[in-house]
Order: sequence, then C-alpha cells, then structure tokens
Amino acid sequence: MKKLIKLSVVTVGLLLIAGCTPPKVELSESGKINDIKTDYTQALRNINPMIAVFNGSPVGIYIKPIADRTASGGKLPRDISTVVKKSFNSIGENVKTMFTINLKNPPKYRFYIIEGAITEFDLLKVSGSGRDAAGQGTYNNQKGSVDFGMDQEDKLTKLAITFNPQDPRTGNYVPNASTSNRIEVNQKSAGNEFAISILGSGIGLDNSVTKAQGLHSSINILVELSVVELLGKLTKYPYWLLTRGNVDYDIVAHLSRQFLRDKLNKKIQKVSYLLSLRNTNIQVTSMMNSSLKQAIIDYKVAHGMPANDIISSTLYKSLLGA
Amino acid sequence: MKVKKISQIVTLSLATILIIGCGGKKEPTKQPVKVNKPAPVVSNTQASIADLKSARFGTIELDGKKTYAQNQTIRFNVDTKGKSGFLYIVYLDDKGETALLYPNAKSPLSELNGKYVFPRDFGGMQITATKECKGCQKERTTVYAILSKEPISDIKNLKAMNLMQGKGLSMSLAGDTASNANINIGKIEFFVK
Repeated sequence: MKKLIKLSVVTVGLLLIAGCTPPKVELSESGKINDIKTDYTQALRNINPMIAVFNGSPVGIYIKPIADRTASGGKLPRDISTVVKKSFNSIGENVKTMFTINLKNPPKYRFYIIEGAITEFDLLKVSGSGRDAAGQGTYNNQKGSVDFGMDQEDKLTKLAITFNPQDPRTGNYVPNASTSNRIEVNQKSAGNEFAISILGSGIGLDNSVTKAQGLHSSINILVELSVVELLGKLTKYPYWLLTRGNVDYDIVAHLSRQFLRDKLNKKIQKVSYLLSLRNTNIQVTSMMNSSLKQAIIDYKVAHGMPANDIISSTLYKSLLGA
Repeated sequence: MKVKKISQIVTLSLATILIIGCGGKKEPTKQPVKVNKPAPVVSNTQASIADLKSARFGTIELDGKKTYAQNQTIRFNVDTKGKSGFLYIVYLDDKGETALLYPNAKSPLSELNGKYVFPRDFGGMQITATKECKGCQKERTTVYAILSKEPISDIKNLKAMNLMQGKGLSMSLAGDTASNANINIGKIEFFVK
C-alpha cells in the first residue's frame, strides 16, 4: 500500500511539475534552425555610432580572464575571455580592445578594466533516468518531498554572466555599471533545436523566441548583449534602445543634462540619430533640413506633442523612451 | 479493500487532473487584442511677449567685443547662468527696429542651459556688422538674449518697446515679486564703425 501511495504522489508530482509547467520559451517542432546573427549582432554593430553620437570619444577596454566560476562540471567553456574580447573588438573604432595596459603611459582616451565570470549554471531538466528533479507532493494533507526521474529529452539550462568594470584611474569599481544577465536555453527533444530567453534588467528579450545553434551560441548572444549594456553604462548611451530592455533612468538623467548643454548641431544630431533608429529613412545629420523637420513634427504629433520642430528636452526624453 | 479504495482515489485524481488540466487554471488561448493607446498628454503651455513685462533683466550674461568694423563677423558669448529654457536672440538697432537672429529657418528653437558662443553654437550662421547711418562715426547696435522656460508663441511680433521695459537696469532685487523667473533677459551693446 505504501508503495502505491508513493507511486501516486510521484505520479501527481510528475504531472504537476513536468506536465503542467510549460517551459518559458516554446519552439515549434517544425521550426527551422536559423543563424543567430540577426538583430543581436545588429545591436553590437549599433554601438559604434551610438558612442560617436552620445559620447563623442573612443573608450578603451582591457579584459581580465573571464572564467566559469560555477560547478558546471565541464559542461560550460572554462574561459570565455576570447568570446568577450571578440565581441568588444567587433564593435568598431570607438571601442579599443587593449591587450596590455601601460599605466605609466596610459592612452589618451578613457579606458576600463573588465572583470567578469560565468556566475550561475543550472540544468533544470535533463534526459535519461535518475534523480534529476525534485518536487513536492501532497497526499491526505501530508506534505512530503519526492524525487523522481524523468524519461524526457527536453532540457532547460540557465546560466548567468556578470561583468564588473573597474576604473584604473581611481582604482575602484565603476558604480552602477555592473551587469548581470541570465540566459535560459530550452533544448527541445526533436532535432536538437534550441530556444533561448535572456533575462536581465537591461535586456528585454524575456520570453522572446530565438533559435540558436546550441549552448555556445547562446553564450555568444548573452555576452554580446551584456557588452552592449556594459558599454552603455560606461559611456552613457541609451543601450536599452538596442537591447529592448528597461529604461535606465540614471543614464536618462545624465543624457538629459548633457543635452541641455549641447550645441544646436549636436542636439540635431542626437535627435536625428534617435529618429533614425525608429525610421531607417531618416538620415543622421547635424544640420536641420526639411525632411528632418517633417520627421520631428510627425513624431511629435504621434506622441501628443505640439506640431513644431522645437528641439526640447521633452522631445529628447520621449525619443529615449523615458 | 483498502488497496481498492486507494487505487480508486488515485485513478479519480489522475482522471481529474487529466480532464481539468492544471487545477483548472488553463485558460483558452487569448487572441491578441489591438488597443489603440491614447496619445500621451503633454502640456502645451506657452509664454507670450506680454510676459516680458515681468521678465528679469540682466540675469543672463552676454559679453563680447564692443566695437566692430563694417562687414566684420559678429561673435559674442551667452551664459545662461545655470538657467534652462528656450533662447531667443534679438537684434535691436538705433531706429528701434528688431529682428530675430535666432531661431530661424535653418536653426530651430532649442532648450538649453550653459555657455555658448553666438552664432557658432547655433547652427553656424554668419552675421556681419553693418552700419546704416551715412556720415556718422559709429552706430550702436543692441542684441538681447531672452531665455524663457516655455516657448514664446508670438515672438515674431516682438517690438522694441517690449524690450525697453528693463530700462537698462541689470539687476533684480531679491523678493521682487513682480519679476517673472520664467523669463530672463540679457543684452550686449556694440558699435559699428
């Protein structure tokens, strides 16, 4: 009888946990595996003009070894420094990836040292038998823990990457510039397909469906998007417009103060750049022209502002998504 | 007997879960509903030249050369003294004629705060010194900078008398309730030889 009770608890638990809880990201069985280099890689490419428009000068980056600090047991790459360096180096001339630091003769541009690690790794569902997951079952108002094996090939992997930038001039970590983003990789049983979901305050790809070509590709995506966020925090550009994440109001406040102090040409450049992110037909310019004027008026009308070409901080904040 | 009862309960609970689903929580797939978001309400308050009556004079700083030769490029500094607002640069000649130097068709009105060089930082227009009086040794020109918290809707109707109300006073007294902190005015005078 005891066996039967245990069996029923396990069965109910299995149904509740495995059957009733859908994975966060669903991928259709017939879905084609696409190359991941789509809008994520575009986000990385957009950093170069963003730094030029909002920061105006290049930034140097020195990357310390970035390793797996989790008990992944060899399931993750031990060192992802190369992936991180590649991401920084692929941005363009406004990001100088340094291979050495000479503090006696530092470069003229601002530079930062990046410290980081893979800080979290969880494998929530795995194929095969054994005690792979745990749950709770209730029978006759008695709660008890049950362990059960799952004969299922889907698996959900979670991993997090953290970056902590340091300012070598002060010897301190840069305040409010650390990033920590998590990725959930859902491997479907059919056809070795993957779906990913990236979770983090600065990255808004939660529950979005993207097909990647495996865990290593997912690490690449997470690194690339974390790089976009990290550089945004360091050089104060509106990175959330590229990563679709939450608005960073500290950066909005900084950008708004800067905007008021900008010369007219710079203001026009920023406004036209932000409009061009929404409408690719708009050219980035530092001189007012009739098409930009019309684009500003159209934008203002669409957002409940007076129909004029006045370059106000209200317009700017609206374009920043704040 | 007991075993039978228990197996019945298990079968019943399994059947319930299978039929109802996850505690009956499953909802039918919702079709996405398009909602027309109302446009955000943005205040459209504007100032008018009538508000210049109570403007604070001398509260923004203009400085530069005091004498220009004819056709020489005019250039001066504008410092809003930490105040933010929409800036207008207005020219006033000896005859009481006014002209709006900034904003103009190429250089839109903008909200600002800080130190600027006019006209370099306002779209790069070129303004040269001219003298209209014939035979006179030099002609005086005054340039006013008006910094308003809100855009001035009827700035094109600005007349010399609207600017003369400061009567050249360059200070505002503390506790002067008549003055309007939303509009600040500064001026610079120079001569064209």
